[in-house]
Amino acid sequence: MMSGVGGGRSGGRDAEGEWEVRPGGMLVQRRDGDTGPAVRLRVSHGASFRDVAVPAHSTFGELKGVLTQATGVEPERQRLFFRGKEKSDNEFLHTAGVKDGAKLLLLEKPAPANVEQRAEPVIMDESMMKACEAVGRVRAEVDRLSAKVCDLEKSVFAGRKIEDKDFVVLTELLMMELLKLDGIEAEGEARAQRKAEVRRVQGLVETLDKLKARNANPFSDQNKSVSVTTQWETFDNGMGSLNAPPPRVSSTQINTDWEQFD
Amino acid sequence: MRIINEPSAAAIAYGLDKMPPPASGADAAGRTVLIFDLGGGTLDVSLLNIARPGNNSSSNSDNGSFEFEVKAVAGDTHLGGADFDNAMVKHCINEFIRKNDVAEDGVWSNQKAIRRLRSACERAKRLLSFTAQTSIEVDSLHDGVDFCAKMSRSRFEELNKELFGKCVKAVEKCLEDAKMDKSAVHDVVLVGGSSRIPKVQSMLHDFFQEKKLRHSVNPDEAVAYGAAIQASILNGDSDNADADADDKKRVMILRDITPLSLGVEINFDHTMSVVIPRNTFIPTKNTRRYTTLYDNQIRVSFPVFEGESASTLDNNLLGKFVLSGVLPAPRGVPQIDVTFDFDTNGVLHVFAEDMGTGSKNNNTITNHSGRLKKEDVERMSREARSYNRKRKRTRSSLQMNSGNLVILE
Repeated sequence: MMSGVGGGRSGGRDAEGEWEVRPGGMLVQRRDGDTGPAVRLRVSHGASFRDVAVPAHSTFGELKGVLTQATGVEPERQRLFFRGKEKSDNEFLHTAGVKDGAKLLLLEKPAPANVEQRAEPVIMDESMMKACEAVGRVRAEVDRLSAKVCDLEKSVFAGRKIEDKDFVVLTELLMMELLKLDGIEAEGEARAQRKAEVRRVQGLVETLDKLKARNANPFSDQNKSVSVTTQWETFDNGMGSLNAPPPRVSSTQINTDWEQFD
Repeated sequence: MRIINEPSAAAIAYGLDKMPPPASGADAAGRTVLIFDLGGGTLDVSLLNIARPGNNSSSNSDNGSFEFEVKAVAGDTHLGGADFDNAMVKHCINEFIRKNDVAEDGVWSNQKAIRRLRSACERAKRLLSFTAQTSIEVDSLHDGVDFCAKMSRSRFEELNKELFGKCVKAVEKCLEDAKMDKSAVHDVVLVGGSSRIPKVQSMLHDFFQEKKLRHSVNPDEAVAYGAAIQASILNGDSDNADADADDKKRVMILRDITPLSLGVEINFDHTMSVVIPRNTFIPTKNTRRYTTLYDNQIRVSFPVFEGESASTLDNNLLGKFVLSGVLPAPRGVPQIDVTFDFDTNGVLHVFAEDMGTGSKNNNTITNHSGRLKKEDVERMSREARSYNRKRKRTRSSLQMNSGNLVILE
């Protein structure tokens, strides 16, 4: 029974291979083995992302059919971009280099006018390219600041005392990069990049806030030490058990008791 | 070499000093110019008269001298572009809270989010000077939620309706102080970045009944531009012999007034005691008598303020000094004369003298064009104190011994 079912599938694939590509079932089988039965793609559409799965040997036209269900945009109004270039419907995903986990960009056609079709890609590509470049410049600066955050983090965990000023300065520099990101006009893929970078900077700022609080509060360090905790408990017990004597005498006695205990 | 005031410099930038007097015979007194200066933090409205003294129709000789007389000054020391931004920020935060149903306290206490939103609002404000509508978008504004909203010019104007109304009131106040009707104004000069806002220009255009507004010079640079022209004239820079000869005869006569009242703080409740009221012609000098506030007080402090509020908390601190060496006596007995001497260059000299002992002290305060808000002064003062411990100790001891004054009536 198992071999029977397998045989059926294999037969189907052979038929497809023979009809579409070339006769040679072995070649088709080998390709299937390499790429797997389906590829998962992430498609950017406006401000949102769509995760879809399509057969590995699909065409972009077939992908549009799948995207119609996910986005509600008719296939004829869809324009698919991969690596900055628009793809035609009869082109195959694998020949264009689309692999599992690849990212594509989906834009909608406002009207079927030919002039607009030709004009729009250039304009949008240009502005998008500028936006991506601007985000890239900020990313490079954030990389540099991120390295400094790591250095500060190591210093704090090593128990070294750091001036509050260092945290404030670094936070301010990160905030300035954040304001630069806010000033970038972006749509589509560029906007997604900008948002990702915004969240990254916000994460770094939150890290700095926590490090600053930790650096300012020596109690948290003492909290880690077991012996210090023990000492604290002893002190408390001592105070409780000796009410009548004056505080100084109590303190002295406690110290003495503690030494004897050791 | 001398210091000229900002309104005169702005008028010079537009060449109003070179223009002939208006043709109407009744207005032979000269050209009346209103300078409207709306910057980032303050609004200043000045009414100037530009005249050529000694000039008459029968004489053909041109003595080349002209006179700038400040007729009146009005304005608001807490009104500017930053206030328009704040109104937009408030509106956007309320919209964000309503749309996303987030906790109100959380957003308002998120200082980083508010700062990002303020920058976005300022950008939108600038765009609305050129376009009717724009969008304000901030990714991950608060708790990872994006903010996106439309902002039209009409909504911007609605949000800031009260602030625009204050601008018109300041103009009316200035004309009222000068006892002039708006029809008597020949030119209106716009200065300051916020004077680019279309609503500001249309309001003034309507108010002055179709009179042409002058804003061809970059509003951010008009004052500096005019001052540079005047400096060039004083320097005698000229390639043309005839122009050089003509320039030598040009003498500028400035008659300025104090834009804000000047005084000292008295009593423990921050009362403002005015020594020189606003719109007083300078140079001017005035003296008032004060006394001690408690028994055996031997040191008296003099915080000098400018502003129109009865409380110094709302006025601007200009300077401060201490008169020491007062003989111990019951409170109210010592007699201390405080003199404010405002010179031609707008520099304020403050003297204090104990009439009993002859002890004296003084301070000089240079007129500063960019007035700081009281909050800024306090913030800078706190920062200075925190950075200089030694100075802090001195100041603390000073405060312990210093007292305030009451007016002798």
